[in-house]
Amino acid sequence: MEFLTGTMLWGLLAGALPVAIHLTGRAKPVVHRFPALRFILRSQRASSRALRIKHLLLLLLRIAALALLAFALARPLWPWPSAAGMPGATVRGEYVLVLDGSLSMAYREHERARFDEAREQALAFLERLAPESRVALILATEEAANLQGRLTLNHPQVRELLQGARPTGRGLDAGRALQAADGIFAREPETGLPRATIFFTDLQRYAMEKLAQRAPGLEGGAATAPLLVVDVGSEDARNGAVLSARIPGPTAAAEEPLTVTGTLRPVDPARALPVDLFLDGVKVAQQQVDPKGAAEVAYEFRVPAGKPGPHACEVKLAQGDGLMEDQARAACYVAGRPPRALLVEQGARDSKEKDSGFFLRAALASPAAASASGLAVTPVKVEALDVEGLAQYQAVILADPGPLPERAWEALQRFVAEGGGLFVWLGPRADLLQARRHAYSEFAAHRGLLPGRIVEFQRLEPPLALRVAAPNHPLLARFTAGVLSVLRNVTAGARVKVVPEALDTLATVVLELEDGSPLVLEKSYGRGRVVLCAIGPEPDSSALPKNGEVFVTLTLEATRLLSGRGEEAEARLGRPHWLDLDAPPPDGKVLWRRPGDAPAEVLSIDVGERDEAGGAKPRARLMLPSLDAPGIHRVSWRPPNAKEDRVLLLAVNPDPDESDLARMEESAALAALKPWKAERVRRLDEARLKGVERPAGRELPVALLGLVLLVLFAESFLSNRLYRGGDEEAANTPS
Amino acid sequence: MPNLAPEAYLRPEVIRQVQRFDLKAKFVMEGFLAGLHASPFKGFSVEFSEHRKYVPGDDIRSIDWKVWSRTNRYYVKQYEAETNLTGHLLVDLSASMGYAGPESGGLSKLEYATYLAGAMAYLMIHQQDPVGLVTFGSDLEAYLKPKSKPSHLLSILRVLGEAKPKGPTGLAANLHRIAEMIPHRGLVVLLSDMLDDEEQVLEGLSHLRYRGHDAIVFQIFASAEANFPFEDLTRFEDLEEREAALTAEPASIRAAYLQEVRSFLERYRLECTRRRVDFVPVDTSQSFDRALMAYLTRRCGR
Repeated sequence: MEFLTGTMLWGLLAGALPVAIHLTGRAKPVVHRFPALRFILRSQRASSRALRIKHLLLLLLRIAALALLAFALARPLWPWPSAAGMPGATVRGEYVLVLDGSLSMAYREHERARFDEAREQALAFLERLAPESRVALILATEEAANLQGRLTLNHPQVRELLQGARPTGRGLDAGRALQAADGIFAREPETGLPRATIFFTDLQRYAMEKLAQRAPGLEGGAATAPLLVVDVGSEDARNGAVLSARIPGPTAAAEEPLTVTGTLRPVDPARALPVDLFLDGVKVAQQQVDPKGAAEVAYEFRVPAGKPGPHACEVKLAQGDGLMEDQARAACYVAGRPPRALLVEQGARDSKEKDSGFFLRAALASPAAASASGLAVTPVKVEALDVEGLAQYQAVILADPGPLPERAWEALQRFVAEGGGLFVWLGPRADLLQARRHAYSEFAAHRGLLPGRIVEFQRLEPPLALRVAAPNHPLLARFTAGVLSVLRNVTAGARVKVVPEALDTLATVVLELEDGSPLVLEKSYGRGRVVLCAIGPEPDSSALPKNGEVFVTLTLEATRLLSGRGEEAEARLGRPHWLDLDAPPPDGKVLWRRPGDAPAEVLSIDVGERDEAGGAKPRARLMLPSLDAPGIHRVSWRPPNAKEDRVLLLAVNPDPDESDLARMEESAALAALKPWKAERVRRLDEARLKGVERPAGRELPVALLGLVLLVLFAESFLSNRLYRGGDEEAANTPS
Repeated sequence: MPNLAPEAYLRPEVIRQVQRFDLKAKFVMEGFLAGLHASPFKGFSVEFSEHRKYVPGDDIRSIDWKVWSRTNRYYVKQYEAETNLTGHLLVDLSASMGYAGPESGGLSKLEYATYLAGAMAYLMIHQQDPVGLVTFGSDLEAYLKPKSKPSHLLSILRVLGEAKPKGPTGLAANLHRIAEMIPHRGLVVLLSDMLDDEEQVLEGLSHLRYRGHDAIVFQIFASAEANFPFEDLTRFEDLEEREAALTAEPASIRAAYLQEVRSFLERYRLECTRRRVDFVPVDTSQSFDRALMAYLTRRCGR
């Protein structure tokens, strides 16, 4: 038998107390000369032996009561297994359990994921915790998620949290997690109980290398609690993975060939690997990729991009292994017009003149701008405009081109109605006569293509400042606080007066002059969109070129919006994701469908978000909770006045580094964990926590205390019976 | 002394305050007789012997009214048996009789016995019975032959008044000796704590009975002996130094002690009854009339 507080066994010496009291504490007798001594002697003779025995028994009972009390305080353990078959609740202390929740923990070995192994060990450890032990729980990924951020006595709650924990598919920042554990200890006052951080991890090389790089720079010096690393990884884990799947861009020309490239890591470098390509869930191609001994190998598929609309392609290993989450990689694209824009300009009268075309070319046609907008911009003179070939472009930019033939306007109207974007810059050439004659006004007022009626070109004396009229417009969604502050300093020296049609609900004034006249207007038309800028970029019209960031940002954002690429988004596995919906549903309901067969979930749009400048700028912003499943996530909603749903596909992929299950050597891993004085074990129940764990067994304090009380009761009863009861019997001590 | 009713002197704590021994005995006797008037005592005997002068305490029913009508004086009738009853008062003077108990102010057993003996002597002499006195400790101390003269009473009271406890008990041996010593049969009144070898004491009583004596045994215990009121740890030493001393927790032995006392008294009661000896246990806290009534009952039965 072992004891939890063995020092209390010194209390057994208290058993000598009754003896000492018996020997020393006897009162000095009063001498009394008594004639009937014979009766006293006779009564003593009658019961002498029995009394002596009873007296001795009483003394023994008192000794036993004290000894049992000491015994109970020493908290003896009876070596009984608990119901779960584990040793009883024996571990006293304060623990922060850190579970590695990275992708590699989802690797399945022997039909069980590493994370499940870690969780099982953690649950078993909870079973072993004595009731007075406190515990906290951290799920470690690139961030430290404090599932239970304070040390608690509520073990069932921690157990519940543990059972609900899942590997996230993200990477691991072990340093951050362990610092979070130290932080938990630092916030809690010392209770005298031993403390330890228990880190369940697979010691994956990638994560440990990151830790090793970071560890020397850890702030705060030594860790507050010793670290026990429970290693659930294995040396011989081999994991094939699709490391990447790339498509040339987020948009692809419909029905044209699409090239999907990427790299693979074969399970066995010596064997060819079958790889499948799925387009919208349908397997469209397979190829054998021979790694020829290499650790990584490239692949390439060429398939038709499909009909116009959003598409998802997934590259999958045909033969899976222990980590399914990295067997496939997804990419999304929108099939439609090619990612090209047409810049229509009149052409300068002389080479030194810098007109709208010059500035717009500078902003959009440079390689850097092409990279930023994703669009290849083709400048064309207005005379050379091929109105039949507009379908080859996603957007058409009219750089104050002056008069356009009616045929061209009709072509542009069709182009926009079918989903194209039209970006119209007005300038000195858009005078009233010209406008009327060349159908600006007609197309604006009567055919409804343009978001306002063109009135006249006006010089402004003094120049007027710009201001934002619709802060939540998607055109301004990526305007940073810095750009917006510059925007307020921009002045306009000339403008084309545009009057929005009062009945045109689809037109929005985005920017205006300080006198309230519209300057930048946007309008949805058919499946496309039109942006009208009533101010020219020329220096004599506005100060826009001097404030390049405003001009470039406005130009790029308008182009991006017009090309339908505003919904481009990068989603990452295991993280929440925000989407700005430029045409939010009136009822605020958005349908979110995860990969696989999970039912669709209805989400509500969060419109309470504020912009970075802190100003009131509500957006139709949708938050997708943690994207915990790799693959294609589908978001759909019905825009106002639309007959069809808009669909947005999100490709969610795991961190490719995390799927590399190569392990760091134990010594190197422990070196990386040096600030925490780590000790490594394979199984926690085999580990004997130094000075922490008490011996196995079930504690018996209640039974023992009960016994003590029983003995005390017996002692009291007997004592009463001997000395004070009605039919007393004698107990005496012969001199 | 305040002017008390005669019955008050039956209480030991009252009689103790009386200084003169003869008065003590007298007050006890008078108190007893005063209380007796209400008793249903019928008479002593049937065979008339002589008249004697009425003295207070005599039953008025025994007054011979015919004599009164002739002489205008009160006389009572005397009967034959009465005149022949010789009383012998046997008083134990052993050291154990000197025990009064832990309470100050209590009577010692010897005091109680001498007051009782004195009162009985008074009673006997006034009834014109001859009364003798034997005091003894380990040995015989004093012996006064039975006489009925009033002056004899003074002798008895003087001997009783001067009695002091000393030495171990020689009760059994002295009973045999007294049985041989007393020539005529009569009423032997033994006043003792009886703390001697019970078997031998009973043999002594048998001897007395064998010699034709009636016997009344007043077994006198101090109140502390009867009730054992001790609380503190006590070292009990034998008054007569015949037994080893003993240290005991009184509370723990009280029950057994009282049981022993009960057995002791019960045995005497049974054995005395068997020998047709009256056994009257009294303790020093009791009033004297109990003992005197026992005597009178016995006297009446003759």
